[in-house]
Amino acid sequence: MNLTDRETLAALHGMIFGALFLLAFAGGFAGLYSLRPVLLTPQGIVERTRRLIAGTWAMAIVAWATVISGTYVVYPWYRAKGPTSAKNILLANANTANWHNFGMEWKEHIAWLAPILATVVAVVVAYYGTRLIKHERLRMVLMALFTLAFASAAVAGLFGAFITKAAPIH
Amino acid sequence: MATTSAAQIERDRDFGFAAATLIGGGFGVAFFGVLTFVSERWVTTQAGLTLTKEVGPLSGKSVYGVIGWLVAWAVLAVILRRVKVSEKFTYWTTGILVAVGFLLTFPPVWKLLGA
Repeated sequence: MNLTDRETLAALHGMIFGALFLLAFAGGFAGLYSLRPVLLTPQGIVERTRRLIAGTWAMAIVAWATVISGTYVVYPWYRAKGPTSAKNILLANANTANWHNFGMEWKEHIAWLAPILATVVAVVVAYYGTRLIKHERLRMVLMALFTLAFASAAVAGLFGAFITKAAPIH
Repeated sequence: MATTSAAQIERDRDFGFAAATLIGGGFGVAFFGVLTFVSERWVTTQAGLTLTKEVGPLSGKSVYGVIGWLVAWAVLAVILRRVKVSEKFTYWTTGILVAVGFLLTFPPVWKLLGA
């Protein structure tokens, strides 16, 4: 039941931040979806907007923490020189090479789109505050960008889990 | 009564800053995609993108990508803050830029474009 330092940090990057990200997305998306005059009283709008601002900022901050820790802490171990690094273990076998050539190549890049998009949504939500309820189309666009941020993080997270299973970092 | 009128909400915000944020974000995503594609298509550029040996070219793509996004956002915010920007133009431009970014970070597209 022991985790090495590397396994602990990899778990923090993938599982802890990942779980928080999922939670923040669910809350933020529900908040954006339900921010409609027919569903809320004026007091409800104020309360809901406050939660929406907190949720979208939480998602943006967690997304930044995830990509920065992934790129600058976990990724160097993955791509280290020598035959025992995860990358070289995957590339040494034709059956697993595509986990790197496709999976890791896509994951390491698409992941960086998530915090940019999540930040855009958080800034616009905070900028408009309760006034966002009057902007139906803008709210739809923010929902689309928020979902794309989640989708890009989901791709990265999914491939991260598969790659870790194929070649764990110890 | 479970509804609210516009009068019950504060005076509306100008769209200019939101447009700058949306288009700036789209630019950031597209810029990151372009950096990714360039480094895969012309591998000699990878040396210039390597800011730390441990992380490799991804270090340059991430740092330059974020700086490019923030600079574009700041410039657009200054330009568009007091300008009446079309919402339709903003959403379409943002959508196209985001689509470009997603396409250029997808490995099969690099191969399709000669990488």
